[in-house]
Amino acid sequence: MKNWYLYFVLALLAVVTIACSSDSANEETEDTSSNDGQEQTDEENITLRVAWWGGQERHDRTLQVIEMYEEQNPNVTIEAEYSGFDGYFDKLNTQLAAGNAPDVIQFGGNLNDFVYRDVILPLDDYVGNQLNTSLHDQSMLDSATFDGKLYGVTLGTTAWGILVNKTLFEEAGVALPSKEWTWDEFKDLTPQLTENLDGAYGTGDFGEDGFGVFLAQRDKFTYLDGEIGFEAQDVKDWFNLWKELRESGGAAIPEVQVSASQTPEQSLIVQQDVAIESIASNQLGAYAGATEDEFELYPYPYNAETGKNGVSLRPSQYFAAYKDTPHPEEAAKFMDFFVNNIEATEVLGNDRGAPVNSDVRKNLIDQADEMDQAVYSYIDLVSESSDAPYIPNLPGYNENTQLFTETEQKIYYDQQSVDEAADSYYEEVIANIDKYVNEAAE
Amino acid sequence: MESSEIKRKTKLSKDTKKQYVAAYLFLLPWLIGFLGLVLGPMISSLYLSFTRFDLLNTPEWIGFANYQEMFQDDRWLASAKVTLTFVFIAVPTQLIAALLVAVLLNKKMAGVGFYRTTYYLPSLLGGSVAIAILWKNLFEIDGLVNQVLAFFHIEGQGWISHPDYALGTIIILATWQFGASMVIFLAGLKQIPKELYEAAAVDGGTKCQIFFRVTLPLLSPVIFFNLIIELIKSIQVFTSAFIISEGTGGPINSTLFYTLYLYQKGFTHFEMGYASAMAWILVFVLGVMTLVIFFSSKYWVHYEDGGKL
Amino acid sequence: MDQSTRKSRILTHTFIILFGLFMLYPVIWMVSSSFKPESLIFSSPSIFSKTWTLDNYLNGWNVVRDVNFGQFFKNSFIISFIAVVANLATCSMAAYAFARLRFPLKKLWFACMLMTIMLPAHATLIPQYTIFHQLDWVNTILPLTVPKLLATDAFFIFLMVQFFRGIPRELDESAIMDGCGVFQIYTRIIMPLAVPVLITTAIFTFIWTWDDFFSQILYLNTVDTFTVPLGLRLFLDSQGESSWGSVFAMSVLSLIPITTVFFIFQRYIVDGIATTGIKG
Repeated sequence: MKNWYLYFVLALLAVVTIACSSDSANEETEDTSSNDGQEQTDEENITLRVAWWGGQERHDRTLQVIEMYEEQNPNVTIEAEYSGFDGYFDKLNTQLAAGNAPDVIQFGGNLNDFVYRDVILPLDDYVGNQLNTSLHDQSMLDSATFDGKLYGVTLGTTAWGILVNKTLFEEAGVALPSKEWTWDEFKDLTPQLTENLDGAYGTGDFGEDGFGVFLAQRDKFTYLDGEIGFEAQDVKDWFNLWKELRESGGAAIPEVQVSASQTPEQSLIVQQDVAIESIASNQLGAYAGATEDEFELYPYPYNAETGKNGVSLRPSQYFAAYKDTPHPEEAAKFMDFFVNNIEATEVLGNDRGAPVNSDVRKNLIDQADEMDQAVYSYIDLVSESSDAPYIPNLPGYNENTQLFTETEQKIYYDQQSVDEAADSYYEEVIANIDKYVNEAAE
Repeated sequence: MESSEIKRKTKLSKDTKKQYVAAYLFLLPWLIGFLGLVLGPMISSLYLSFTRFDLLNTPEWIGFANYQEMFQDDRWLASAKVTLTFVFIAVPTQLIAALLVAVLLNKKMAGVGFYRTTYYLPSLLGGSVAIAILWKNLFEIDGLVNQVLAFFHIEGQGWISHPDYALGTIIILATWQFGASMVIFLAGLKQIPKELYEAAAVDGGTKCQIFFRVTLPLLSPVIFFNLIIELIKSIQVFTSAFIISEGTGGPINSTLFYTLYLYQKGFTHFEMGYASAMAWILVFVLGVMTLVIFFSSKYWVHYEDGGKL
Repeated sequence: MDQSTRKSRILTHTFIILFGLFMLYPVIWMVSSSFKPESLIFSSPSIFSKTWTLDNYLNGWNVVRDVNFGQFFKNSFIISFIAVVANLATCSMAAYAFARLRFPLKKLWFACMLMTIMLPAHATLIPQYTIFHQLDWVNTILPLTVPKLLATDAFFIFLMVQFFRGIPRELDESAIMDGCGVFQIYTRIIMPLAVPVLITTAIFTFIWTWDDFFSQILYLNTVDTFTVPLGLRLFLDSQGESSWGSVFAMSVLSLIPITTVFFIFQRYIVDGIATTGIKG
């Protein structure tokens, strides 16, 4: 009776600790190959951890493909580790740091940052064996190639495009432009929209993505293979272009522009704050689904002097394997199935962008619905007419994107002149690239 | 009192030893947790603060470089300024709001449970994803706040997207989520013996006098607690700024709170060494502030146990 | 006299209600959004909508294939419940030691305890994860519950210390006269008299554990172990397609348990159970 409470708590503690540790120890022997004696039996029964982020639709489709894979490979159990985007990379970084990362991991445009930090498995040994890339677009293979080694398979192709809100154009009584429009037409058209619309502006700022296209139209690029391909003057020209657009009334005022969210559903164009926005083509469905307005995908405005459009095919996401995965062959085999198998890709559809395998893409186009047709035909257009090489995202993707936005905002709110802001952006971006590429390589 | 103290000391009796053992038994779960789960990671983060560490490769010892870099880092300075501004405004407003509402809702009246729940609801929503959207809807240029202002013929701003006002909207959000302090105040008010109020009323004190002469002094340990905790929480404020600025701390770093910048450094810029150094500077500053409050507590905090820990 | 108190009472109520509406607005807005068709949530953000639908609830409940929100609710309940019991037991023990007992190194431990509140969680995340990984606890609920059994929520220890110190020491002394030891003082005097703070601890632990997204996403890998906050994020892809309708619908459902817990238990904070006439 005496002291019962304390004993109770201590006993509870002991029981829980013991129960738990023995419990997890049991699970442990089932699914890891940490001890050597077990390696043989593991050959037959393999657990592959596959991680991705996405929304409901993507989870459903991906899980269905995983089931198909498990049916065809009864010795493989796939542990699906999926979540929303929030926290995905924080968790991945933590897992990588602790040596507990999944075997197959979905990356976005930041794959390069993980390659530089040496945690991704090069796939060259498996290409031609477990992994067939013969029908993949060369530019997409290039996008996952660093220092001559292939580090991932592209899950979908996409391209920057201009989303036009047709409903707002009609409301403003402004005729839709031709699909071969130029920046001059764009500059003419947008103030008219603003003027004729109640509380909406012609266009939202195209931001860092637009800047990349702008450079390509001038035969320049941001950063490729250790080389900086632009000058501070290019940055100034870009920011001046937008300053001019704001002054003419064509572009959204700062307070509207800054409130823009990256989420398609909360974007300015969906909320009828602007009539034109730059998007990635595979996002069309997300934008269109969030409103009753009618949207159409346009090419970027052309540079009248060079006659260039500057848009190229881009990877949306990748699957890559963890460097220390105990099952590299199986990981490669699964990735192969995911991008090359006809039935699997039919299930996946356009969710991560148009497939990279040309046979698969042809097959999908035949079955696509209206929305996907629009996306595919845009991708086809870009793929046939593209006049620019693929340029990967800057190393230090997150940090540099944030820097770009911060620079824009300093100009919006007159904290710095265009020249000052562009110069300090240029300086800092070069320092960042150096940090991510050179320091990481040491 | 004094004589018993002396007796205890001279004997260092069995009783004393027994009490030491008992005390450590009570402390045991916490001690195991602290030594086993918390202390290790703390020391490791202290070590990392002297290294360059990109999360994945081996940390490289660089001495005090991270600490030195901080004072030349404009964003770090911005984040310190944003955070201190927030602390000096949000802590007092939140505490006063919480205390007033707690006093108001401490009465017996019809539906008081429902009212308390209503006032706690914003805190229940916490850092949920919906809050970010709501806050935008309220404070953007064509949002509800400006619609209300327009009714009074005042022209509004894009509050949330303007660098001069964005921090203000987050302070409002924080003040609005005063529920936790309110609940702690309610619990504290409960602990004050009714007899003291009755005695004061008999002595002819007005409501106001009673509040300042009885309620406040007896509530002081709880005020002390809330003050320290709110200070720590405000200096560490993260979630609200994170969800509302989509992790950027923008516009132009105007909502770049200290811990948000720390997180960015550690997890999105892969500079965990720098982030750890930031964390320890924070601990140092908080430690000093807390010590000051602890020393000052002698003069204004009234303990029933005589004031000795 | 009677009239004027009635007047002031009405005034108080009106004030509370008016202000309450301000506090209630987000919830009303959330509920209203949860019944809107997905294409209207962002394009027409007003509380009043022309069309209403239950789709968000149906679609949201069945998140993906075999998993539905029932599972997430169950997981959240288990974790939150264990956390509450654990925090009540172990934090109160530590707090009792700090507030009432004399022992060597007390000040050092107390300072350590406060320091654990001060260090930002992001700085210790990776070493902590490594410990749990080495214990093979990742993807179980252990990293989320065992720390509570070990009183790592120093916030509550500090909270209880402050309240325990408000309990008059004469009570302990008279208990000692009656032959009680430190254990009996803890169980018979301190704990019963600290009911308001224990309830406060229970409510906060429940709600905060229920809402805790970051440590749960870190330690739970597979969807069958997921909790409500993780379930909510399953609908969201910041760059791709998100099901915001489902998010709102399930957020509304997820509010119900924590609101209920708060509503039921808040009265024990103020009305107390056994605390009348302590002093007499």
